[in-house]
Amino acid sequence: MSSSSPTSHWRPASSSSSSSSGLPSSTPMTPAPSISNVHANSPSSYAPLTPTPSASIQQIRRLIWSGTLPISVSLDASDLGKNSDRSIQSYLITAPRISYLPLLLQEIKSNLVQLVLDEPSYASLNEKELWFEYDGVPLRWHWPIGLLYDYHTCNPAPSSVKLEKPHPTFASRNLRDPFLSPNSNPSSFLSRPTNHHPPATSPPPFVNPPLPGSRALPWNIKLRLRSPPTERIHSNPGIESCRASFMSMVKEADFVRWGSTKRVVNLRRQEQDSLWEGVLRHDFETYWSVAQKLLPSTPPPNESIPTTTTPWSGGSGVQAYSLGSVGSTIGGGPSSRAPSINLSFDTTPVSISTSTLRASSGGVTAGSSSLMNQPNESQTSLAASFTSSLMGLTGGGGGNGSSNSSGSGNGNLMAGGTDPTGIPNLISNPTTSTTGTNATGSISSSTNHHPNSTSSKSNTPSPCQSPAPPESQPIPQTPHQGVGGMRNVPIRIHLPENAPVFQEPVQPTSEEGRPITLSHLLSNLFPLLFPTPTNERQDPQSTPPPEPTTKVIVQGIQIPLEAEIAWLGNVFNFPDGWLVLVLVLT
Amino acid sequence: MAAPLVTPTQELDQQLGGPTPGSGTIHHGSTQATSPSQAALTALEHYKKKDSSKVVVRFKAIGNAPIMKNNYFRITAFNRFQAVIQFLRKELNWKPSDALFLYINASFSPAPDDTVGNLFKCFGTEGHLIVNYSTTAAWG
Repeated sequence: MSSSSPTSHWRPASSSSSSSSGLPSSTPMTPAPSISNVHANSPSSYAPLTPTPSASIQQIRRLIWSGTLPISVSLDASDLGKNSDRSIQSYLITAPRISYLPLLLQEIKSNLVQLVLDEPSYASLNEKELWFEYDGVPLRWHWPIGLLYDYHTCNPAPSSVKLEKPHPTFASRNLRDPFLSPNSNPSSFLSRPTNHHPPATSPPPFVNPPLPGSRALPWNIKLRLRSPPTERIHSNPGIESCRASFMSMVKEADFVRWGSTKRVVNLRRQEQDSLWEGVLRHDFETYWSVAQKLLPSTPPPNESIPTTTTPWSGGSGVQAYSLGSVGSTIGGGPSSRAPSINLSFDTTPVSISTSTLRASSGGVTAGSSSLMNQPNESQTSLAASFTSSLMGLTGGGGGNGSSNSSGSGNGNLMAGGTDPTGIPNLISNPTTSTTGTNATGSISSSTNHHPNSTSSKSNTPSPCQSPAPPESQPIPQTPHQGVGGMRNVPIRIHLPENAPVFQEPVQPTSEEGRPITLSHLLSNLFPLLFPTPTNERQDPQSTPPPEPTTKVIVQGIQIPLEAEIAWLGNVFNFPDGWLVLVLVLT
Repeated sequence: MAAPLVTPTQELDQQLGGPTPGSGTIHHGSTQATSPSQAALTALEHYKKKDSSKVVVRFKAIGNAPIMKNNYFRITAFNRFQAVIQFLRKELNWKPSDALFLYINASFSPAPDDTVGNLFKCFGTEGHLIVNYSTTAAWG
């Protein structure tokens, strides 16, 4: 089966700003793991998922790509002249999380600013003077919108900069500040400016503005028309400038990953343009066709990622996407922990659980990379026949029985071949599925070890623990050095309250070759916020694990600390290549 | 105030403890029920400290850009790269309208809010951070 076939059926449900749609078709992403949002969905014509690992990683990428945020943009009264139409309150727009504010400007100008300002004022508007702010804090042009939202709402600035006169909300004006009651008018959900006329009775009574840090949606931001605080925004609004900054970030990420920008620079001009085009038009295919050349060939997390074949039907209420990981030990009951992440997208439930069985007999360590690592390190002494689906089996078979157990041996495995330029292709290799079946046969001898692993391969939406047919056994991967030879993961970490952004070389695997998890990384970097996890070998009764004080948000989702950064860096990254973590104190 | 219509989203938001239409007082989402512990805040203070170490920047002229007599300068790590740009402009007596492009390791332009410290940690070579400068766009 070709991994490309399902893609033709997929369209991000809310890919463009919804000036023509009645309801915002996107689902707000919430960080809490158990929340799913109900929305009337736009019908999606997704094909049923095919149970191949590469398809499932792709699916995750697409989901992230298609995530959107409903934003309510309003103007500030202090920027409006005498002849402005103040009855127009705000404009609602559905923006892709991976997009940038400059790309929304044109639409906002014509649908809000132009309607509010009188002609001369509008004509004399200087684009360079425009800027956005949330709760008084200026928003950077070169940060993706999803990051802006996550950062500014999870970690509100304790003292917002009030650059304008006090909120003109409670004076006896007609202007109703959207902060007051953003959802009071159902018509405001239409992404059209609301020509809302206040009720004939008196203006609404004084109400408290929303507390900062609320992740209430739509996200209420303001477009300001003058005096941009350039020293805090650092760049200017134009689309060209946004593109330049995007390409620079792509190159910087490339450099971090590989030690040089060769990969990007060697792309044809048209290909480089495609990266930006993809973002501009919110077209995943265009973007991905080139981006895959820049990423390492991660072993498909799975041949064991049990992608459910639940068809995606539009219109259902709950959209939950759970990503769980199940680990297990040999010969014993499942000692699986299944942290799961629920991603709310406007898609129907699809659950992907990844089974991670770490193969680690002595040999397999150098360069192995499991994508969702089990938290329990003590289980590393799995028998050779256990191979982790997520792992890059390494060491060229280095005495690793596990790699051989899958019989179909390594050679033809996976992780895609290399494209003509010699750059390894990232997954999506249709051949893997076929080798998969071969491997199955040869692993049959070890199926007795797999009952737990297979548990995660069920076709049901539950994240784990149900038995699954043994066909989709993990297939050993081709040997990897680190994660496809990647030197460092391009990662940026944002701490609350304007603490300096962390950016340092972060290697995907430790010296022993074990993949580094968020937990390892963060407890090394910020030990005060991430106390070292207790050694699992200890009796859990004796030392209660420390209270988690900080959670990690990536793409709007709280990520379990067991996640591996290399995998995250390949799947949860922004189009500019960067994996960005927002740390939130709990 | 008349009770506004409630859309399905609003309904769910209410269920989740989100904002209630018309009330104006927005409840925190479930993620922010408690404020961070004192320990966490103290820890955060620690990480907010700015890096005051010095980074050596080595400037390298590209193409027709003027070469300076001294190419090595120290700058405190917490400065944004923007400070390097401004510094160089001053050193070269460049007018704000004169074009100047800066690159790291002859490869890419850093984001304007990247700090020198971070850039050095990620891209420094031989104890310094190589900054190429040019009057025309050299590497995009």
